[in-house]
Amino acid sequence: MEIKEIQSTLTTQLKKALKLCVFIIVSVITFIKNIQRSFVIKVLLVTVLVLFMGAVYSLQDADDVPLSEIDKALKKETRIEKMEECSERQLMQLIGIDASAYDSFIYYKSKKALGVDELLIVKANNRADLDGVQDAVDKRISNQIATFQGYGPEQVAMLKDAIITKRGNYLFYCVASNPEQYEEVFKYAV
Amino acid sequence: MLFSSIIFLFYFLPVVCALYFIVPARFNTIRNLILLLASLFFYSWGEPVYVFLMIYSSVFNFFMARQIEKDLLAERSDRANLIFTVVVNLFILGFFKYFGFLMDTINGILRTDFHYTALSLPIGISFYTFQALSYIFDVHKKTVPAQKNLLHFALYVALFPQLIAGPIVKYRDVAEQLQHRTTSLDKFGQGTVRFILGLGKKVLLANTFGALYEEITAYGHGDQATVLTFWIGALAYTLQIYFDFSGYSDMAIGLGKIFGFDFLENFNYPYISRSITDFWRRWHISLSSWFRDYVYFPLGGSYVDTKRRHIFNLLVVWALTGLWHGAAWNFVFWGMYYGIILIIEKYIIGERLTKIPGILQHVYTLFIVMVGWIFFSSASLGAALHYLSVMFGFGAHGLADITTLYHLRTSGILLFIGCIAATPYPIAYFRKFVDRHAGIALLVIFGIFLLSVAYLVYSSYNPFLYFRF
Repeated sequence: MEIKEIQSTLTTQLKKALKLCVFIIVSVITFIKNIQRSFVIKVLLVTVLVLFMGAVYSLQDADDVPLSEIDKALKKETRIEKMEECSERQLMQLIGIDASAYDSFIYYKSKKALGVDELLIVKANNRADLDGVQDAVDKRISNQIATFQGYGPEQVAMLKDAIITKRGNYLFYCVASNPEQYEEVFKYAV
Repeated sequence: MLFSSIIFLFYFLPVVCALYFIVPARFNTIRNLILLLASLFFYSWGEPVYVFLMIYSSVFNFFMARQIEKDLLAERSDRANLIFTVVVNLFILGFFKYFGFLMDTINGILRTDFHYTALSLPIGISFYTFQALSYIFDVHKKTVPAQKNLLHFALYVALFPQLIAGPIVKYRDVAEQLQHRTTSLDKFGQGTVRFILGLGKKVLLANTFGALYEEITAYGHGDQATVLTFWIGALAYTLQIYFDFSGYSDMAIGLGKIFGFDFLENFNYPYISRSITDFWRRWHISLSSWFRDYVYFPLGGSYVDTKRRHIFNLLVVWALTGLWHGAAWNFVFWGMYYGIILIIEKYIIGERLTKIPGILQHVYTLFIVMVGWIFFSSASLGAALHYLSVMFGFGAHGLADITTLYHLRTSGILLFIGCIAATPYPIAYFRKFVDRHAGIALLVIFGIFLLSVAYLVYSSYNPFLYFRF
């Protein structure tokens, strides 16, 4: 008797649950049917936009890393010791950048008189300050190309393949036979 | 890609012209497709990632305008769709242009140190967002029907002649031309001449004045910072920004003409204005008229009950105009500066100003404008105030020195030429000259082109000042 009672209670409960499931499914189907296509497109458009913005932000974001750490990584992973480390005065003299206007910098240039290899990383106090650095670097490249045009085809080719990258408050500039190698270390570091 | 670059002049433009004109004029859709692809290529040359944003803006606004029109046809309220569209457009602009400014302001006010990355600004975003918004507002006001063809609309947003630094072309002004426009040898010639004149303005004049201004600002607090030297610098920048921006507009209008489009003028010799009110009717006309049509008039314009409300409307419009130019307080200040002067002209000195001798009206206007450009050109409000203080003798190392004489001797004639070239007289004279000696005029144009190219070959990267907006 007790078992039968339990069975009937279970059956009633199951039926109720089944009815509830059917009700939910029908409601969802009705809701989906009632959603206008335009609403779906709007949601889709907003989703695409948010994803794009997220991707762009993460691509341009950078950690707050001291340049000394990036310098260490470059010394470890690349052959930067083939270049000489330059002072604030040389930065001003050669690239026209006043180091005091920025947080910090690393500047290496070729030891050879006719070498155009150089690497510069500037950490600015805010990203907007990097525009001035970029202008100076663009000018430096143009001047170097004008200097070597005509008698230094290898140097000109290297200058034309120069890499300039901005990440967060950092600007990375490199002229070398394999600038991608230096860039990779920089990107990994920040 | 820059108009004033060898790649554009000798590779991109000839190839696009060839492809465009090979297609017979009756196949307008194919011509539009060529122009659209060329525009996307042009933009992606410098902005490979952000080209997606421009495509997105085209698709989004195309779709939303049709939704708004559907609401209007069904006599439903289109307010929700309109607000949604405006919010998304402004959100995109805000995220890419004002996020860093907002975070800096928050960190400054709350003395916090929230880490953030200010994104690089997608070139031309302010221009094409405003174009798209003008289209949305016009569809909402039933001034124009929504575009049914995505290709035509995408071309309106992305059209390379005016994509990067305007003029801000309203959809209603080119809606018909997107579907039907005429190209002719005559129009091609006119467009080419206009383009070359714009190129000359930018490369030969603006860049030279820019170099002078840069040299003078570099004196900073040094011994060479004298009153007259800094005024020479202010004049150099005044001329640089005019020739830079109006040169770009000339090139855009010229290129448009080559491909059969007639864009409205963006400048009308602003430096001959007799008041600031007059100046803003002549400077960046497409932006002023955008704010007038889509912000000032909807706020009530001057047809409001109280003077206070009118002043409020003017200040809102000018604060927004300043903010449109850049995400920094000096731009907001620059906008408000003009707002306040326009209010003063309207309610206090307007009548009296018309009664003083013409020359004094010009002096008054140029004085206000030159001071205004210092706020505009400086990296920060502090830098602007320092420069201005030297101009007015505070913190200056004397009235003039040997450096002043050096600048006058080396750049005096050029500054004089610039001042004359900023008036309508040279062009009016040149037009008469063309009528009488067409051959020689052609040689002059060719000479300007050759000189500009020679300058470009030996110069460094020289972007337009308005690229950053």
